[in-house]
Amino acid sequence: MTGLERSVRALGADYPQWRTLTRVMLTVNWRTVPAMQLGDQRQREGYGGMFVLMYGMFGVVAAMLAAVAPGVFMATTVALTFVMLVLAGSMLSDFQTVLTSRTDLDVLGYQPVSSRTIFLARLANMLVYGYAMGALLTVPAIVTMVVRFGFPAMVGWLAAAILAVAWVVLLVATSYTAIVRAIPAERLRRLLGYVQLTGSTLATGLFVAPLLLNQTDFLKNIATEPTPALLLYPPAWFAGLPRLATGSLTALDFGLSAAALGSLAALMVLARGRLSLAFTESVVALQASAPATQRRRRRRTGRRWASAELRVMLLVIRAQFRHEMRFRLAILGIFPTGLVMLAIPFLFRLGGDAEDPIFVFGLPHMMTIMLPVTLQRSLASSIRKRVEATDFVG
Amino acid sequence: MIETRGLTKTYGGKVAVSDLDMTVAPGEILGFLGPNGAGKSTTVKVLTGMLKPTRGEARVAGFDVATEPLEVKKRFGYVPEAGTLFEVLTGHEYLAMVATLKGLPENASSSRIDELLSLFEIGAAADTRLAEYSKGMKQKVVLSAALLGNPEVLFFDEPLNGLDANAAAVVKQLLRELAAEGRTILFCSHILEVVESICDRILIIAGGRRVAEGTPDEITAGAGAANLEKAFGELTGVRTTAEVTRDVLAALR
Repeated sequence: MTGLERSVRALGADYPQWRTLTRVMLTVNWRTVPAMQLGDQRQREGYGGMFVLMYGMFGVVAAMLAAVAPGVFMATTVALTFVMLVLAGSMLSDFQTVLTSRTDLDVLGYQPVSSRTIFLARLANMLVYGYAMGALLTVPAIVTMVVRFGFPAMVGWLAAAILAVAWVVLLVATSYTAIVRAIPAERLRRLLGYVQLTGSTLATGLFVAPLLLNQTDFLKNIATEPTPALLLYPPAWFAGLPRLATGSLTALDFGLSAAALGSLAALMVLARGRLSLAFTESVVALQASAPATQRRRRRRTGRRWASAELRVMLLVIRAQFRHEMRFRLAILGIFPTGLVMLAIPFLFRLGGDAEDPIFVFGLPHMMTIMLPVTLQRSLASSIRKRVEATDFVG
Repeated sequence: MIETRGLTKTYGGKVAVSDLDMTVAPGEILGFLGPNGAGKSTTVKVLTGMLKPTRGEARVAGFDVATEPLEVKKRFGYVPEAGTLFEVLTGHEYLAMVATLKGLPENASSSRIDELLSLFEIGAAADTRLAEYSKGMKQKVVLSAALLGNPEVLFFDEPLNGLDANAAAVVKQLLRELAAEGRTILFCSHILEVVESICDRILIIAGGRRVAEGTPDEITAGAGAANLEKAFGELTGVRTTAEVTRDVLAALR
């Protein structure tokens, strides 16, 4: 019996079933392209390359942040803040159906497999994807760490990154399972969509835009040494590890590292509690008995000015916006990104730098083109998805 | 054996199934009928361990579905009405997953899967993703999954959905043979002719309550109707085909 098998059995799961389900879930996830990332076109070939490219680019941003921030502690804190934000956003977007996936329930609900085994397989699936994304997000910063701070800092960064990824995965799993008891799954999915949108806007506004603008003085000027207040800031906990690795052995460094390990242990205990059969079944029962929310139909008397075709088009857009979360987020996502793009030339001028025509003229024009193009593209893929899901005769 | 005693299932304040008593003996095919929303699917979901009963008792193959759901699930095959699948898997991958979940040995299950796929004439598509299957082909995969592991109890909810005439005839004959071998079969369908032709007994529910039980002849005679369709309409309060057709035509004019 392998160590893995012993661990899975110790957690109360059936090992052959767990192995099969984990393999199936990884296959299903791999073959089903996360729609947020590829505009709703599922099962597209070449997803692997897209995945590596996208998270690799985020990894480069993290490495650049680590290159700008002063000292090993702040470099790790700032880079990990970005990595953890991106990772949590992706996990929320793609793995929020840990417990309440309708397909899982319909396919596996009547099979002789315990919900604990199903949940453990889901968690393993999340960890595999978490570490795949985590590797791409954190590996580029290895170069920064080794060049700027030496080999021990790089080892500390690796340890911090490994623990931080597990921390984010467990946090997402435990908080989702806690919240799903109080909020109906559909409403929660909508809510998490907005949380993810806010998170990605924050990540863009706080980290990517300053790097694009070369306005990183605020990073250069932040304190190098840890302060007790940072005991309340999770990414800083993990930044205690590279400090320890580089020989800084203050009480605060130990405190930060202890907070990282302690919170991870606490999340593991919490996750184990959430893996219980009774918990999962109670969630499923809650979701099954939750009354479907119905909106009152409103009589539309306006839009007499519009042609029949235009009225149909507006109706489709409105219905898709109301009912399809991914379409709604794609549209809402235009505005914060657009605002950043519009703001860049002005900020660039305020910074007193040379007037780069690409920034001054190019970005507003890109924004003007982006809005209708994104609307058209999102609407087309949204309608295509609906059509694919509908059986037509003839 | 399938048994329920006073089985009740409520959703919030809404009663879906109320005090349902039912027995299906080994070797018997029970036709389980009712209009839309009568509580058939809820009953089957309780019997298959997907929902917990609010009150009463339900036993399948001798095990209580509420307290021993895994033991129950090891002993039945189920063809659900929706027939949801992991569509990015191939037919063979999906059935291999079901075989492992049912605890079948890997070497034996692989040959059994190939055999079932060939028998249902979809062997050539075994390595094609289910998303590319037609509705009938998907239904054959669902049927194959239900039969894997040689279960002693079978739940069929509209098993002929999407099947062509030949495949439907094969399934009907298969049901009779499976029952003849001693398996317990609960058969849900809206196609009364099929129910009448293959079921030993029929149980009709409406509004979550049992309204009639017996052989097709007994039910027809008991309702004082000319045939099972008319008896079903009278017992469940559903309008007859002739009445609905007349009203639709009137609305069209």
